[in-house]
Amino acid sequence: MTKIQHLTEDDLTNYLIDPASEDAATTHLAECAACTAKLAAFRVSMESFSKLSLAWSEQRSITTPLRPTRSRAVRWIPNTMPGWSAAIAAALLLAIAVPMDLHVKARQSPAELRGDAGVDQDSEAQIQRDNQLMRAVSLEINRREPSPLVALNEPAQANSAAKRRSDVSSE
Amino acid sequence: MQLAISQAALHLTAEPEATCSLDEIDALVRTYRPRLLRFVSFSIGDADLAESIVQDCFLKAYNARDSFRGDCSVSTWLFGIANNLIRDHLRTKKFHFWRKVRATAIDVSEMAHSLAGHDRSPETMLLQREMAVQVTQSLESLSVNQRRIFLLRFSEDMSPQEIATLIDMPLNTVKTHLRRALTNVRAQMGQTK
Repeated sequence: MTKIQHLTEDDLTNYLIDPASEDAATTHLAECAACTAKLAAFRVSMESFSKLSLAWSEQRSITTPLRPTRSRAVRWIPNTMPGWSAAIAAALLLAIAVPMDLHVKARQSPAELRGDAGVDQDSEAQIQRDNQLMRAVSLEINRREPSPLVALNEPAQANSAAKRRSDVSSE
Repeated sequence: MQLAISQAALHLTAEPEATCSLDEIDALVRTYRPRLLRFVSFSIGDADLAESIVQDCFLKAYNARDSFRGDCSVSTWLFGIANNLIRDHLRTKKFHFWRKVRATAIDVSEMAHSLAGHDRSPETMLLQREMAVQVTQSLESLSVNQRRIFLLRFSEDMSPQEIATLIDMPLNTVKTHLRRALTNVRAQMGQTK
């Protein structure tokens, strides 16, 4: 009875790295349950690791959103379009938009431009409202308020008067 | 018990690759972001920085979508961009500084509870979590280079040749990295004599 020569650790390692190039090991593994069990132990461990790490990674991918800013920029300004051509495009846009705006304004009436179109300027009620407003403004302007400098001037005035009185008495 | 898990694990293989136009950035993100985020997060061990790298990856892919010739899958193309971004980050001094000061390490216990298993028994779930935590902890002992190659091989199921092409590294160097990483991980998990 011959003793089975099991695979060495190196043989197993080489088989795990590249099974296709290890014909002798493949033949032995087909017959040897002990070596197959060793191989299976490593494979099962790696399967467990792969599955759990992928589940962990999927959870992180769901909870962490992408930062879309840079990829959006790619869509707006393609890489093929250099900076100076974008500047020319902007200048052209301005050159067209400004004269168009002036042309539209020239066609509008003065009242439309003032933004008060639709309001009757000479109506009785409007004149009354204007007068009331003017009176309120005038009252506000003419209201007498104590000058803020009075408080500062008073001690100086009081001092000078006292000095004058003392001068007179000494004479 | 292990056989039962083995059978269950057979159904956990990668989802069929969804095809979507490169112009549809939303669909692209929805389809590939989880896998890319997993790869970058566990490669560099910093979840927040990984988010930022994945954002940059999609932005670069979207801007360079015209240069995609279709000689590899969209998934491989995106993983290539992500890998270049990781490499660029590794080179910067800023990365090393922030890694020391404020690395938002992946919360292993948070990861272990990410999976909702309605169709599996509590024992199976517990065992799966324990194994996943073991792998995560053993990954910490690897260098960033070893880690990303290990993840591409055993999480993304790429062949050593595909990895060599993707990261522009000689095939033998890829195999050496894989051998060291695998020996280390298996030893940490108590699967070697």
